Amino acid sequence: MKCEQAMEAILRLDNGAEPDATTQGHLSNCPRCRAEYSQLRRALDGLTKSLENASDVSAPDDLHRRKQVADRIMSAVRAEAERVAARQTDSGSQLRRQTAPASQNLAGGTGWIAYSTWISVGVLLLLGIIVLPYTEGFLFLRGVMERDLDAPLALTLGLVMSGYWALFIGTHIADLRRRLRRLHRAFSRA
Amino acid sequence: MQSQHESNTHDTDTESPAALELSDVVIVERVLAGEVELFRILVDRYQRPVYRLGFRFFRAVEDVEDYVQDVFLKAYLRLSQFCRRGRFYSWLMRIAYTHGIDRSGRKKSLVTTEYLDSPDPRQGTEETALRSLAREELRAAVADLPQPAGACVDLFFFFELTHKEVSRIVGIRVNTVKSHICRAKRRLRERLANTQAEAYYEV
Repeated sequence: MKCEQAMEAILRLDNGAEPDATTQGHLSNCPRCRAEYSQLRRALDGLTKSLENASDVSAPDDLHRRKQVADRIMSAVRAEAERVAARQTDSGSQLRRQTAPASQNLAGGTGWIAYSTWISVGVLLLLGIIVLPYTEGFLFLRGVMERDLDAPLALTLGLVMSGYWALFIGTHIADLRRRLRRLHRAFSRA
Repeated sequence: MQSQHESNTHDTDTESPAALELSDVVIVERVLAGEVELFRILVDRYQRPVYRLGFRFFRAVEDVEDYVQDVFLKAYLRLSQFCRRGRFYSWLMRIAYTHGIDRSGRKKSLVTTEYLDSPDPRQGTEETALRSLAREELRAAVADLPQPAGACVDLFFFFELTHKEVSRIVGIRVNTVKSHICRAKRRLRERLANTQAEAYYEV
């Protein structure tokens, strides 16, 4: 085996792999290749370890922050485990179990209904209420009652929409807070 | 069912030496069996590399922390999909890499950030000098290379993943990964040789 061939084999080595027997044979006979191999190995070994010991975060309370993040992860994990357990014991929620893929519930508790569903249902609700005064049934009602129903209608519209969006915000509070925080950071940086 | 689950959730001592020595696969199996608290050991074991990868996608510490939290929660939710033949670490890094690309909106690209090097107790030794040279050269290689070649080099050298694992994570063929890494190693070899020659002439 020639020196170049041996070096090529060494360069193609995977992480944690040792040179094959032919290359080993060459290395034991060729001091130059042996020296180069050992130098390359010393340069690469422990590269990750040295980075792991290094601090990626300039804050001095690095370790403390990591612990906090781990605590946050664990409380999210616990909440998820409890949710799954509650769902399993809740015999009346067969349908929900089928329609709720666990992977959708990420950090921040986006719930088991997607954002798009919430928004489209909200828009449909709004459109329904806006169109309502022009429907035949409503016109009939107005004729029977003999009075203008605009004020009670506006009141109902307000109440229904407020309730709906309050429910939405309540079930998504953690995720929304995170998104707002990110938006705030983006603005303050700009 | 629930009472058994709850007792398991809160009684497991994650800091006992016996628990800390458990292998990843055993922990995964026990977490899936209901000992949710054991997941903490996996978080402590692999938080650092996920953190480091997070800094490739985001600059703000808060963003990285949110990212780390999401990655681990995602891993927990998909734990039953973990194939016990592979390493848990590489499975987790795959989730982390994909999530990083999804969240940051970058397509197969990594932002390299400078690390603050810790004071090495053996500072000044030849070993340290060699390692920092290698780090510097490989970081430059990652920065110079187009994606996904840069990501391959980054994951192989700085995250100690194998060719096959990198190929699965980045989603390109093993042979392509091998050739990208081989090229980076060749570059490093040249640099080492040049430094050695310089040192020789200085003497």
